[in-house]
Amino acid sequence: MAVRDKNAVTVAEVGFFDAIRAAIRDEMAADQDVVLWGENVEDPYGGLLQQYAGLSTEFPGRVRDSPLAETAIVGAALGAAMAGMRPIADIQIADFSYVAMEEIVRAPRWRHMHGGAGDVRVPMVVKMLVGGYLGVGANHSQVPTGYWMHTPGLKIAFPSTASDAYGLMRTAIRDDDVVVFLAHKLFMFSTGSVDHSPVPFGKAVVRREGGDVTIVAIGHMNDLAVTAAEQVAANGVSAEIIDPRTLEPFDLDAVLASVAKTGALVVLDEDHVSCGAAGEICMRVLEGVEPGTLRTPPRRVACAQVPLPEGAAELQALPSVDRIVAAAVAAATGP
Amino acid sequence: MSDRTVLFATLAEARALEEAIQANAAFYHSGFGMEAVGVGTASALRPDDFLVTHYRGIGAPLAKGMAAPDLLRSFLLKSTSPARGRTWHPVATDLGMFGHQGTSGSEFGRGAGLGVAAKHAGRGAIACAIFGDGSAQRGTLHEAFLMASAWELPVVWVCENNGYMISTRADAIFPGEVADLASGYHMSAEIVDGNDVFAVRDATDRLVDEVRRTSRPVMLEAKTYRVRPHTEIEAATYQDQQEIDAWRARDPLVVARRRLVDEDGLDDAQLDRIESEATTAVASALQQVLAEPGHAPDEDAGQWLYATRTR
Repeated sequence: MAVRDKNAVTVAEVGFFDAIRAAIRDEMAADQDVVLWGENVEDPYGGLLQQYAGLSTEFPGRVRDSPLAETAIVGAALGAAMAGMRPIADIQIADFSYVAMEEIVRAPRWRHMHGGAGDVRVPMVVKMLVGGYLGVGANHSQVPTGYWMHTPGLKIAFPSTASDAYGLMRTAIRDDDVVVFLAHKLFMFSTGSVDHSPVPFGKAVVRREGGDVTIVAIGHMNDLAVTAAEQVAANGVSAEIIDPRTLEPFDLDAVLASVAKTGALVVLDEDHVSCGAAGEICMRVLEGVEPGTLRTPPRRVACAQVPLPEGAAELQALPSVDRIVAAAVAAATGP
Repeated sequence: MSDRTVLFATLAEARALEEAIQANAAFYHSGFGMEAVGVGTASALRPDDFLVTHYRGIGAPLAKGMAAPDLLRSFLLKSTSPARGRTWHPVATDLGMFGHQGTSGSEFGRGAGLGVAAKHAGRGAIACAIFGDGSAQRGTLHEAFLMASAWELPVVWVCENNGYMISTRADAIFPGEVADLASGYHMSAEIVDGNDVFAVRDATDRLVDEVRRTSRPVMLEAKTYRVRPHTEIEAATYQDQQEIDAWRARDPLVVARRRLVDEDGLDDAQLDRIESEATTAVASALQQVLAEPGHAPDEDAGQWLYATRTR
């Protein structure tokens, strides 16, 4: 892909990944302890999709090419964070994070297991690209929201707009806990206006207002949800779309308020459906909602429980607008 | 007391602690007979150097400066421990020790990261990570050794080779010396008698000096022996009694005593007094700690999960 203007933050339309880079740049300029390392992050390559282009040049020694060694990338971030630094550990693609699974699972456990000894904090960001719809197969396409939501102590940011990408990354770097930051690869084609301020964790936004069904859309699912909402509107179904922006902390209140209005719920997640974020969110709503609020059972649209094949065959497994439309209509109107 | 006599006193205190913990902890990976490795290496560090400890023994945290009562509180899971009775692994953040969690081999990544932090701070501090021969079999060693070498991190990697990964002999796994690994990463390495606290200390002094001068990682392999079982709740049926006896005859306190008598002119009565003072002090601390409360069950289970919680 073409490299956008590195200083594009001052213009109205900003690329999604340019916004992330701008957030990292702003935090690195403000705090000497913010560092970034991972595979191929230094100039002139500047990271996959050139996400970090220019940073190693502007901040010599603070943006480092690591060995191809995900366990050490995250493990070293844990060590450095405990000692007061604010590392961003770049795991190129989420599928590779499984190599570092133990480190990602252990890091947010540290403070708790040691009883807050010395008030030690672990301010680190584990950043990874996620997502299908590019036909790049089971080793480059997964969206492991479920694994991270299942892990105690993690915070999870998953922006769907350039402005949220900027604001959530700034918050993630400033946060004193372990943050997994997910960035969908398809957003490389996406631009938007950017409000240059941190976005608080745990605050959902309503992407579209509606009265008949609530659609909770995680990450890139927001783009599919908007298209689906337009289609169901033609059939007289008014869908409200909620983007939680962070899965932990999760803004359950925003979802409950919407469901109180619509009486129906569909949750969209690109991860495999079993024990996933969509099921978890449905259950939290069922536990938290006033009895009689939901006219129909909550529904989820997620990736089928199969590995993603390469090429167009992946579309059989991934959530589609058609499946979202069917689920939204069924939830709104009953079986 | 001379430096070497102080080292002997620390060794005697470590021994008294090993025995006290062994007798009173519900679960313990004993470092009995291996105290010279931790004492010899950690005593060579500055207070602001970082130290990654593994799960066995108390020699290293003691020599880094952690007080005996806090070590007892930790291993007896008292709510008065620095970790509030939540883990027995020693933690003392003001001494650059952040505790231990995770698998054997998790020491390596943290060691590299602490090396990054030490170098970034630019005050000449270094990181030291102690691990066993079992951990040295993990791929995590390779990743962190490579990173420390490529990034020129000031890290002393210390392998406490006690001969056994639970029941599997180290020499059944490693084709040569563990320290041979260092050459692939262009690191200086030394192999030292891990039961001779003065030899361990001298080697560590040399390596620490090199790390501070060059900001390059180095490796020390200290050869010792696990005379106790892997944990205190199992029997080491697979270990040869003659081998255990031979190593017990080379107990770190015996070796240190002989050297102090032969080389420094101390007499046995002086050394007896140092040992008995250590034993008395630890016994007194133990009586106090045993009376302290265990983990408080009414504490909020999620209290320390997040440093900052949004909602």
